[in-house]
This record gives sequence, C-alpha cells and structure tokens, in this order.
Amino acid sequence: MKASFESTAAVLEPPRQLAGAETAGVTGKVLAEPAMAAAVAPGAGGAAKFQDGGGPVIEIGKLQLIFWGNQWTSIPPPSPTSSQVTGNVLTMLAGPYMTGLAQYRQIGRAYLAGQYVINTSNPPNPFTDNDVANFISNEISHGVLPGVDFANQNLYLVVMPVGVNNQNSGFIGEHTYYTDSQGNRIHFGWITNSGNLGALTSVLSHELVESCTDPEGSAITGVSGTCSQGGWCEIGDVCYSNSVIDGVTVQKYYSNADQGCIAPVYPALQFPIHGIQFRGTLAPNQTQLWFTFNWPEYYFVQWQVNPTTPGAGAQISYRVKVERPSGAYITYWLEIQNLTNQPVAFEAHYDILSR
Amino acid sequence: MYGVQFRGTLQPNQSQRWFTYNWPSTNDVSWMVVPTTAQAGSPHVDFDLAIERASNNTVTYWLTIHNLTGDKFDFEARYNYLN
Repeated sequence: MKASFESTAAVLEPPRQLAGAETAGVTGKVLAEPAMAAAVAPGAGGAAKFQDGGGPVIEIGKLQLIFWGNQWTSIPPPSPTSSQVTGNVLTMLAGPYMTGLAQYRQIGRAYLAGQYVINTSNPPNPFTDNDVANFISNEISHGVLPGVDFANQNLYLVVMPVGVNNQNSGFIGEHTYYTDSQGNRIHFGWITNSGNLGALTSVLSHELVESCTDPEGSAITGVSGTCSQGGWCEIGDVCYSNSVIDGVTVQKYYSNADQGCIAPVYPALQFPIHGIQFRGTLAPNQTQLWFTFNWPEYYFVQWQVNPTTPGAGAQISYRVKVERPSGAYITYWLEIQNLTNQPVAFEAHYDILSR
Repeated sequence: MYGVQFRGTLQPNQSQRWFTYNWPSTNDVSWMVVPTTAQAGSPHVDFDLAIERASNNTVTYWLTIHNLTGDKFDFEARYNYLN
C-alpha cells in the first residue's frame, strides 16, 4: 500500500516576488486546440429547453457539506452516517457527473471544500428555508462555517437528520440564497433524509447541479412551458430518473446538447494518451510563449518539448503555466527557450496520464 | 486516476512553498497545479518542484507555487503515480 499523507500545507519560506524573467515571452503565438473531444458532444440541433438568462452561476463550486443536528453524532450512529454521505459526495465530485455542465457557460466540477457535523443545535421539525438560512448565517458569524469567499463560489448544502421534514409537505430538497448584512448573496440548499443513502445522494446531486447552473434563479432556466411545477425551472426539474456512477446514485439533468436527460460517464479511454500538440521553430536564443486551450480540466496532462533539430549540448528548456479560463477547461501556456545561438525546431508533446 | 494532495489560496503575485511528506521513494510521482478559481486572459500559475530524500524509504516533495497574476485565486495540487 502506498502511503501518502495529507500535506500540512506548511509554509517554510516567506512569499517572494516573481522574477521578471519568469514571465518573459510573447503571448498568443499559436492557437491550438487539443485533439480530443470536449466532455459533451454537440447535439443534432433543435430547440433548446434551457436558456441562459445571464445571472450568476457557480463556475467551480466550493461545496461546504453540513450535517445539522445531534442525530449525526448519536450512538449507535444513524444510517447513513455522515462519513458515508461524505464518501459518496467525494466520489460524485471526482467523477464525470458534473462534466455535462460544460455546455452551460463552461461550468466545471465542484469540489468538497469542507465537511461539518454541527450538533450544537437541531433543525426545527418542520423547518423552513429561513431556518436553514439563519442556521448558516449564525454558524458563519461564529466562525464554524467559512464566510463568503472572494469569488463567491461557496455552496452550503445542509443535510438533515432522518425524520426532519420541510414545512412544505412533499419537498425533499431545495436550493436558494439569502443576502447577508454586507450584501453578499449566500448560496445554499438543504436535503432531507429518508435514511436511504441512494435517495439522499440523488437529491443532493439534483440540488448541486441546479445550484451551480442557477444559484439565484436568473441563469440557466427553462424556456416557457418547460416545467410544470412552480418556482425556478431548472435543469434537474425535468429529469427525475436516477443513474449510478462509480457506485453513487445521482439524478439525471437536462442537456440541451443531447436534447435529453443525462448522467455523464467518461468515454472509455486507455491511458496514457500521447500526442504532438504543436510544432515550432525558435530563433537563436529566443524565448517564446505558446498556448493551447479547451483542455478538459479533469485530465492530468504532462508536457515535454523535444528539439527536432540535431544539436550538441542542451538546446531547449521550457516551463508550463496553467490558466483556468472557465470551470470546465484549462489553457496550457508553454514558455519555450532556445538555449543555443542556432535556430532550433521543436515538438510539444503531451501525455494525458489519467482523469 | 489522479489525486488531489492539497488545496490553497495565493494572493496577487504571491509565491509560496508547500511540502508533502512520507511518499514512498520507490514510486515516481508527477505533479500538476490547477487553479480552481476561473479567470480568463493569461496564465495563472506555474510551480517549481524540489525533492528531498527524507529517509531510506521516503521522499518529501516541495512545491513552490507562483501566482502569475494580480488577482487572488484558489488552486489544487494534483498528483499522479507513474509506476
């Protein structure tokens, strides 16, 4: 068994300013797209059921997963336990489930930023949206939960104990927002708990994708007539069938590109995948910056620049820089330096090691 | 499948050094640092990797991560075993 320990993220050296040479180069020399397809292929056409109203989205969600109530720490423990739910959520976030959101303003996968079991209070039964908002606000003000982050990508999802229900009979999950005293919009949701892990993760997945695509009811919403129920019409509201991805039950969501409900899975690929992304030539002693874009963020990619001009001694050195222009995609910037006083041709190789 | 070893935040133009320890010396590991705050327009981040042989059987990886922009962002450090 390979041992790897969580970094303590200790900082041993004081921050330093970048040296000017590290950012030298000419930007935008070559535009080159990756060889592989994007996460979701374009559909065959037809009217989109969902449109972008231009409101805020959560591009890379920082999920704050919260278990509310002392039932979560009772002995014997409840079923499912908070650890079981958290484990399933981690699997869900690490997998392909959210990759279909790339079609909606290039939203990417969320990640689990924090997990909290808060047993110092219990949710009222029944509870309201305001009860949950007040609970989150109170825990933020006491430093138990992190407050709004600089990019406002935090999403607070509260999982209820078994038997605690919403005031609106039949509602099993919801997402919305409240506005704090500084005017920040705090995006949150709640999930009720029947005691069935699969049912819980199904509802949680529904609220997760809807929160990211439409946290305030003003972004990705259905065109007139798409939904039959009241409230915000969102991509999960027309898809109520489940799928199992990597052993975790998730709910499908609507894809305009596929004109149907999807629970994305990764295409079958054999890793590593090797290729030549671009070729170029550097003048004597020249340093230049190339970029290549639209690489799915879930690929682990290594780069190597090989000279193709024969020479004696070291010819090429390079640095790889990473840009995250959107939730779903990465742009790689390769700063390539000719170490010689002769022109040198080269190839930029990529190896996709995994996802 | 790769893993995420740690996450952090860099202030504008900040460089900072992290370490992660007790990695088996028999395994080769590749590292990648990816911003988790989206922002278009220029490269966000690069990093320098240094390796310490901490014991007969283990190594410590030191990642010096550079924010190349004038904006704060979050990032994650991903690793992938090569063998």
